[in-house]
Amino acid sequence: MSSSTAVAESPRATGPRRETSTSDKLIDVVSRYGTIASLVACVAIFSLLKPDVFATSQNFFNILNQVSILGIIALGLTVALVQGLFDLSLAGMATLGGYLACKWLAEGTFGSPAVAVLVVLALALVIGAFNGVVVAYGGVSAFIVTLAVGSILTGVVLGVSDSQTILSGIPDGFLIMGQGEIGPIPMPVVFLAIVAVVLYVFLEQTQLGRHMYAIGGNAETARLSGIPVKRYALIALGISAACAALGGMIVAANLGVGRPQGVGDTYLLDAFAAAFIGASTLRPGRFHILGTVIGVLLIGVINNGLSIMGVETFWQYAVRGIILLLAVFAASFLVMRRR
Amino acid sequence: MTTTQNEPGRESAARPGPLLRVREAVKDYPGTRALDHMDFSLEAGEVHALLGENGAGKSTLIKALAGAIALTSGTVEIDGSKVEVRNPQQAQALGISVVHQHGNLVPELSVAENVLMVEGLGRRIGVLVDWRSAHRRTRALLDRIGLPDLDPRREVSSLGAHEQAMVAVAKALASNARVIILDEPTTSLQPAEVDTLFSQMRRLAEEGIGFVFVTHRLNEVFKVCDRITVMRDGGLVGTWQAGELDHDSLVDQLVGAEKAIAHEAFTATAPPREVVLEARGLRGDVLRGVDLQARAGEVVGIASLPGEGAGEVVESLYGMRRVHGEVLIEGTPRRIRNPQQAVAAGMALVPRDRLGQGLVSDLSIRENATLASTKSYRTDPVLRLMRRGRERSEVAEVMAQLSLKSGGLEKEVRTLSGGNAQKVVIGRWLLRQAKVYLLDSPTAAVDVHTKAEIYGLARSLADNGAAVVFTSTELEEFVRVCDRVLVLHDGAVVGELAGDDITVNSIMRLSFGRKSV
Repeated sequence: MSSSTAVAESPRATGPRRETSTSDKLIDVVSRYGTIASLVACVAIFSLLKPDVFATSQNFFNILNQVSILGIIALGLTVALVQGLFDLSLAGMATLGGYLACKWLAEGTFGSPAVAVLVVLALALVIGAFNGVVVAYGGVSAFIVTLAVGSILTGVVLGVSDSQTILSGIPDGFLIMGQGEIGPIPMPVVFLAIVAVVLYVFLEQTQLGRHMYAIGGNAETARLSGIPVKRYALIALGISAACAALGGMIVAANLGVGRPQGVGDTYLLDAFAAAFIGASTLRPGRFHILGTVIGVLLIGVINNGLSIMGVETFWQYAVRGIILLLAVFAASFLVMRRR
Repeated sequence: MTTTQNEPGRESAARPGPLLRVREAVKDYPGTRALDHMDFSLEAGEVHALLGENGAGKSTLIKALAGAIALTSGTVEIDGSKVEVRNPQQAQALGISVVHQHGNLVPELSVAENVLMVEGLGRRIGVLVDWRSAHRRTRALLDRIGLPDLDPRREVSSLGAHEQAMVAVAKALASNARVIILDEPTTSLQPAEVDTLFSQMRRLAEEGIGFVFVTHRLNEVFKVCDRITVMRDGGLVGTWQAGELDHDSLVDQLVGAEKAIAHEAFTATAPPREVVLEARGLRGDVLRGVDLQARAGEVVGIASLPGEGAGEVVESLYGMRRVHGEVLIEGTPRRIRNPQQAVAAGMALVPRDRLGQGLVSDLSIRENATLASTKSYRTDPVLRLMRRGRERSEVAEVMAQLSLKSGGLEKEVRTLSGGNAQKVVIGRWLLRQAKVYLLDSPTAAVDVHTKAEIYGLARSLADNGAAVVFTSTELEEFVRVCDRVLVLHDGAVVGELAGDDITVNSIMRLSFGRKSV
């Protein structure tokens, strides 16, 4: 390493020239903390309007329980989005995961629910990695590949199941995943917490996560820095698929049935919405776990609150859409100002 | 397509003022003043160089004229009357057109589609494009810029760099531009193409068009320009007739008070040591059997005309380009098929395109700096947690050595100026303890000061035991920084220069294939 760099200092060689003015700071604060503020505001408003129903610890866990499946799927998706990969196969993946676990357990293919769950997760990893192979080595955009694979998965489940829902023979050991509790905490929430912590550490604290952010930021720079860029698409889409499958299994365990269709579709758009709301939070323009968690909570609180208020479902969709627009608008506004 | 063409120059006789005049232009950004009471004027029929170091305010002025940004205060006049340029459409209507470095052309579209993008393609029966008249009109414009043989139907991406530059000018003419601002149009052109461009510019100037010519290549200024305006720190340094200045005095005006730095040389003071890099018989689609050696302590230049081998040697050594041949690092043969293997072998690339290939602008300085050496900061090969504390302290140490100026190592790299950003790239390889540095036009589009700083860094890398391979599009740089220069012509080494034999002239002659120097 160089011990000294004998270069004449030029006084006007520039450091960061731009100091932020008050108005810039305000915009910065608004876009960083806007979503958190709206989360707090939503909670406050619903609590004021329905103090006895909304603002109870039971409803609090209720909200968490309701968002946990969406959360798990959205967190997995966040990993893919960090690398700029859209994973549209997660709907089909979730449905497939839930259905297969139920089928194998009901038919006794695997005796232990734990084994069945692990096999499904492994299968999901393989399918996700396959997505990654086509994306990285085939040079096809993830959007198209995962759209196609998602369609194939949907078809496969329908074919395998003959469109029949599995209603019986699912062991209690599996149902615990969706219905059990640890103390006051519902099991889905426990899974959500574990996935959130693991993926947070993965993205923020590990070498792999660092490389993923670098690839997402500028793949060519990452490649020229000696990072084996291609294999990271396999990892990212693998994780995304595994989380989708886990979410699908928790749905199945929660309802106690293995449905061959429509399970994942409910979550696809909300997962993207949550991740994009998250990307406008705290670190605008960057997908990250904490942001997605906040996005998921915001969606959860709004849905729950509006339901409690007795607002019609179509309003819930509309309100969610408006909030997503606002969040993404705030983030892109900041990014534009920065340039 | 039926609009009558404005014939610039016809009505210039009785003009009350210069074609374009900017008075007292001020542009404030939060915390900084990018334009500081800048004055500028352009006469019809002249080619006027607008020069200044990076950050001097040239691009701000151009953006204001193009309607991309609004001035904080000051006035713009056309033909002596005050005008408002609030958006690009207004600029166009006033006849101001900017041709950017990387062109404002859509590569997938045809020449005609590009040229007529602004005025629109003519129609038949209301909806169908009238291609015949579009092509006729385009041909007329191509005729005017001296490319009568170019087929308007050709896709722009299939054109050579100079043809693209000229098509961009034709596009400006199509919108009846009278003021054409050329923002570093020659960056990707070869010398002969530059001459063609210049002769066409002169011809169009005679028709009454005013050119503002922005460049970092000073020798071009004297070839084509009538007047020269120099900017510094957002303001006007002065405007001269081209004949009043020579290369050296112009450099002095550009850098201001600290003149010495612009002429300082950075060649070696100690003899080179052991061979670090050796390449034998590199052969590929461009290279035809290139051998080269680089020793610890030396900066070896590789020069050629664009596309004739210099850039290709660097890319081949770094595994970005498929070649046959042998590469040895410290005497050990290394298989280098991709950048990953190159990095593992101890190579470091400082790429030409800093933002596109060198940095991840959304990541912090620290994260950018450790991008090639994450392995050495991880706790173990399984969990791979990053040791941030160690990362921080080592990055801080290296960046202090490089005297990086930043608002903190956690700041995003996008906040840095060109020179400081380049230091982050170099710091990355210091942290990786690279043995061979491949500097591919490391000073592309940076100002005189930063250039000197980068030369100094190249020298200190060599002094500290690395072998440095250097390429550039500006031949003066080889003279200032290289101990040895290999000159390639048509993919093969045609000569080697050392010490005082390294001159712009000798490099130029060799690269054109003339064996005798």
